[in-house]
Amino acid sequence: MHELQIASDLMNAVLEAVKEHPNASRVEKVDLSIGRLSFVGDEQLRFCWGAITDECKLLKGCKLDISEEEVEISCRSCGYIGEMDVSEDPMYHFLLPVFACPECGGEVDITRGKGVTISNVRLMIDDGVEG
Amino acid sequence: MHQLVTIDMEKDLLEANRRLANENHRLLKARGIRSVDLMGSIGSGKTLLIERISMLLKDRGHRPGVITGDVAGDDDHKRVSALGIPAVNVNTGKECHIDAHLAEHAIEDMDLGSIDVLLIENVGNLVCPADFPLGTDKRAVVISVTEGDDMIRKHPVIFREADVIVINKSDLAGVMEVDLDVLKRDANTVRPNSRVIVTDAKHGVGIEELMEALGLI
Repeated sequence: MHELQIASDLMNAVLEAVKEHPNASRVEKVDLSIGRLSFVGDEQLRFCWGAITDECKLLKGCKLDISEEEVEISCRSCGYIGEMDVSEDPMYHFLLPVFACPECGGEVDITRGKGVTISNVRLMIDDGVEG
Repeated sequence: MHQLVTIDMEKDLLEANRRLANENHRLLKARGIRSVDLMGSIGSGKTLLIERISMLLKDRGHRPGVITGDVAGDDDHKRVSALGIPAVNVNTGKECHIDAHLAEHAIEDMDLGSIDVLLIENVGNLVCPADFPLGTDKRAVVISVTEGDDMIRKHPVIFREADVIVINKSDLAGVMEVDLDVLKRDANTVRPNSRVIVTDAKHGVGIEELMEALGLI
């Protein structure tokens, strides 16, 4: 439940990026990826985004295009880089992420899948030329 | 004329928190202060564990300080202060976790010259704090048997962030019909090679083992 904070950080980051384009009339779309291991919900984020951008002339109606970032781990022992194992336990009907190397069982670092990353921002520029 | 322009950027919104966390860590290290972020579920006994740890640290000649984090109120802060331990209260208001920014302000409010160990009690929550490291040396997650034996597998990600996993209220395991081995097995599944410490904070059991696991003694 920290989507409001994320939405507010997102708004500041987008407005900062748009400053370089003083003729921008409107931001059309923001592409964002959310890591599968982060605790940010896309529906909640869209809701908060809509609420906080509603009064902003540049951002009102701006679409959030959210994709999911897959998890990548890297093993400290054998150098494995790739997907994480998921343990299926039919007894509990749970899919548990296993934070160990699927090759050697060693300790792993998570190299992707925890971030909330803006990849690009699309904006409408009014160049002042009649046409 | 209108034209569409695309600005390419690779900006991680959680990066700002990590950067602040690194600054907090540098500041504490420069002052020779060891630090722990105690996360965990609501009512799992985080405050009592902090009280126990703080008193044992004092007995051993250390100078603990505590940051107590709650959504509202100063109940934990009063408890810790009553023991004569420097404490700073953080109310997060609408947020469900302490972030590195709030921690930074709390650290500013702490008299760093009077402490050599900083214990931060995070807001009771097994979800959000995982995304927000504070810059401490160690992070621990506390659960207790009264929450049932499924707490770890229901919240695997936060346990991945934990250097130490604490299972508290072991004295109640029998009454609650909770099998400690199930919790330990789940801990090892989500975080192989993790340090799992079983405590009974009420009766002071397992506290020194926990302190050793946290690098405090």
